[in-house]
Amino acid sequence: MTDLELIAIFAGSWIVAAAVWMLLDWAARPKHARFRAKGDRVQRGPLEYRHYRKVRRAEENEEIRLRLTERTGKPTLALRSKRRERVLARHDRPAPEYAIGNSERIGAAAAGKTDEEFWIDLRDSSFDDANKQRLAEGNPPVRYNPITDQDEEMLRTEADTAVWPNSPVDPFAGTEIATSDNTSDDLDAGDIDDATHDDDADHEAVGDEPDDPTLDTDGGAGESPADETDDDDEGDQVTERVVRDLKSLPEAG
Amino acid sequence: MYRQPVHLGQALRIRRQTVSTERNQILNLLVEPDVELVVNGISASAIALHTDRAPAEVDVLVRSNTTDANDVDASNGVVEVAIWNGWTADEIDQGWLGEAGIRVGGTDPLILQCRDGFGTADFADLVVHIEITTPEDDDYAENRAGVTVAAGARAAAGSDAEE
Repeated sequence: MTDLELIAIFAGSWIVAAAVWMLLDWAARPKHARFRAKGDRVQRGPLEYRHYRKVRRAEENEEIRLRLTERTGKPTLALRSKRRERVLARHDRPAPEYAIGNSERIGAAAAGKTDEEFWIDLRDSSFDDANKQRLAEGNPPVRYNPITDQDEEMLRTEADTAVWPNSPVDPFAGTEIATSDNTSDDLDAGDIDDATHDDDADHEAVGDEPDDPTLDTDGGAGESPADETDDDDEGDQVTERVVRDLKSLPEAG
Repeated sequence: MYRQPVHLGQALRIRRQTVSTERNQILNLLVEPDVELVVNGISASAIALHTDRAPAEVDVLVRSNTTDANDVDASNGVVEVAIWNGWTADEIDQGWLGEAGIRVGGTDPLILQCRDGFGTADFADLVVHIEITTPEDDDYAENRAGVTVAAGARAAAGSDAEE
């Protein structure tokens, strides 16, 4: 072999060795790793990396949340990213009293009755034996919530009533329907869903129930001929449709 | 509990058929936190329709409540509306207790026959028909854009239209 060949073999061996070394080093390095200066390198295992990713994502979410708050002028409550390129923001809005997630005690206990006395006095027709036992011991009843997949205790409100936490909102709270659907065909326009007639619903329902004196508290004084508007025709049509639907129903069960 | 898939922007037309005369029945609806249900001018992620208060026929709009400009896919998404029954006993709104349950039948309309756990198991305590509609009313068009029309404002607009 000539000297040149020897030098070529020597250099080539070192080049191949360096290439193999770099290949092995690349294969052993985790995908999310990036170059860090020697002084910044920290030895982390898989669990530490998972925690680090979580912390970093929370910091990014917080940064975006603050930016959204500044941009929109409304306090942004929460930020959730299902994928890194998709961000969902939730702004503050008045929460109903018993909205989902509001599981804290509402209001202070009413004066004159302790919590134990309140639960002992609570009527219990819906509860099973286990909850009846809890009530007898002065403890709130418990039920399983399939939405949250957790057990939850009943709450005592400031108005001295018992409610379950995470109770949905009643959008028709404060309205009353004079008759029950399946006992009377005399449905009124006020009984049919129409937001424009909300203000008239109770008024018409009371005025049109002459057979039930307990409902006609003002003797029908609130109703006058001027109150009969053109909506009566529409109300009759809607009434007719609802009555027809009820009559065409098959027997349940 | 029954889960009904619905497209954002669609509405559930809930028509009450039979109701028990012994106690007030409740139909509860729930969606995920970034979606809301709009009915009677109220928007919330969970609503309860009481038979002694709500009308026999109610339209519940399902829409997204996110306002982030980056979230362009939400308006085409499909969400699940969880539906379960409840009742009022001893002045307490109850649910998920005892032998209460729902029997599901039909597809269009969806028929839900609910039982409150009292008496015989005839599942006739509350029977509702649910249709999925795509509302084209102007009010719902506004709601789809994320504007909640207050019930009072809508009532005023309605009374002005009557005049």
